[in-house]
Amino acid sequence: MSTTGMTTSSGWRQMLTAVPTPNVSAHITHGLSGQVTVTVKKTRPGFMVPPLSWIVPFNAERCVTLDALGAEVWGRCDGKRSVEAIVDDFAAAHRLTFHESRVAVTGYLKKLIERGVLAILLPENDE
Amino acid sequence: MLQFSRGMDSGRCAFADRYQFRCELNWRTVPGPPDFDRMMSDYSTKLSEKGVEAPKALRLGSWRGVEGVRDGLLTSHYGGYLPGEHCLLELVLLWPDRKQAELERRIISSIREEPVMQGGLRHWQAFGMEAGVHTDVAPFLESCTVNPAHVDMIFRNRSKQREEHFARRGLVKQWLEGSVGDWLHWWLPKDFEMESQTSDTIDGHRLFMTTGTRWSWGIRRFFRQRLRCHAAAWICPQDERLYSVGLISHPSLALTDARAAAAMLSCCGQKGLGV
Repeated sequence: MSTTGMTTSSGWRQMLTAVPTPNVSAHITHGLSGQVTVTVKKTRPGFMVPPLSWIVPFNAERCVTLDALGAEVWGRCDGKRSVEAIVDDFAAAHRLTFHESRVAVTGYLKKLIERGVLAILLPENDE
Repeated sequence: MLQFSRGMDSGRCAFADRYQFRCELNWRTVPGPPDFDRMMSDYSTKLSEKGVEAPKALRLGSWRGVEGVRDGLLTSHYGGYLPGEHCLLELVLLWPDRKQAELERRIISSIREEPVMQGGLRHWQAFGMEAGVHTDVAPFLESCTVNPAHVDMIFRNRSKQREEHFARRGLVKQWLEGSVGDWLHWWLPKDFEMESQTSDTIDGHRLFMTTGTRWSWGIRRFFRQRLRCHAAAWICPQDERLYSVGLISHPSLALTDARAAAAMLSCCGQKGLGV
């Protein structure tokens, strides 16, 4: 027999207690069929000065276009609700299991965090 | 179930609650029944080496086990043997709050060999699907795709003369354009020509059934060799998921029609819709 390969750590509990908070400078545009485009301003890096900036154009904005489901997740990121609460809401709205919803929601959150339109706040008492 | 293996000879499934893994089942086929006394003694030693504090021997029916605390977490390890399948099993349960003896007993008593069902079908239950799979393909889970609200299992026998597809999709309102019948036509495997499509309503489920054929090429076509596909799909009104089943086989093996295909997959407690 083998011994367990299961993780005995706290698993994904810490991730679920995190609170996604929208970037205050995010600008929202509602499109057709429930799509939402989130635009945030980027800081110009110090090295983006002529003559480099003449060759490499600097785009001062970053856009993320979300489909209807992504827009729903974005709408629930109000800086108050935890990831767990968003996952529960999304599961209830679409008749999904907790883990189906968790994978879908965290996929969207990851995309939003990578694009800098969302930040994650971890509770203070967590390590 | 968050992790799984497809192999029948050895593999592992892991189950979780919303916060962490709670249960793991490992299996391995062995030539004969194991010497459990020796195995459990070795196992206790191994667990002690791995940091399990004060392992305690357990016994539940024919299952033998060891319980101990590892990384501050109470863990039960059980070993069992299924003689019909020559399969050695290891069950690991993690108890983050307190041990639930009744739950443990129920889990262990649920692990057993399933007899072959009527019609030569083996019972498979996973990811919200309950399917009867033909015995000649049941051991060969060729692929299992699990995405949020989308599960697809394909069984295929070694000679590739028979394939069975079972799928369950959620968020249907978000992606389904047109009717389930149209979708079923699209879902037919590549190169299959649709021959017929019918529909019926059974216990509130609108069932679409289709039959298609794929002709072989070259000399095989000369001998009129072809594959037949019977497929069925429906949306269950209870869980609003789209269920689909497809059977592909050589016509000589095609014992079923599309209605019989539908009978091989169950939803919301309905034991197959085609019957």
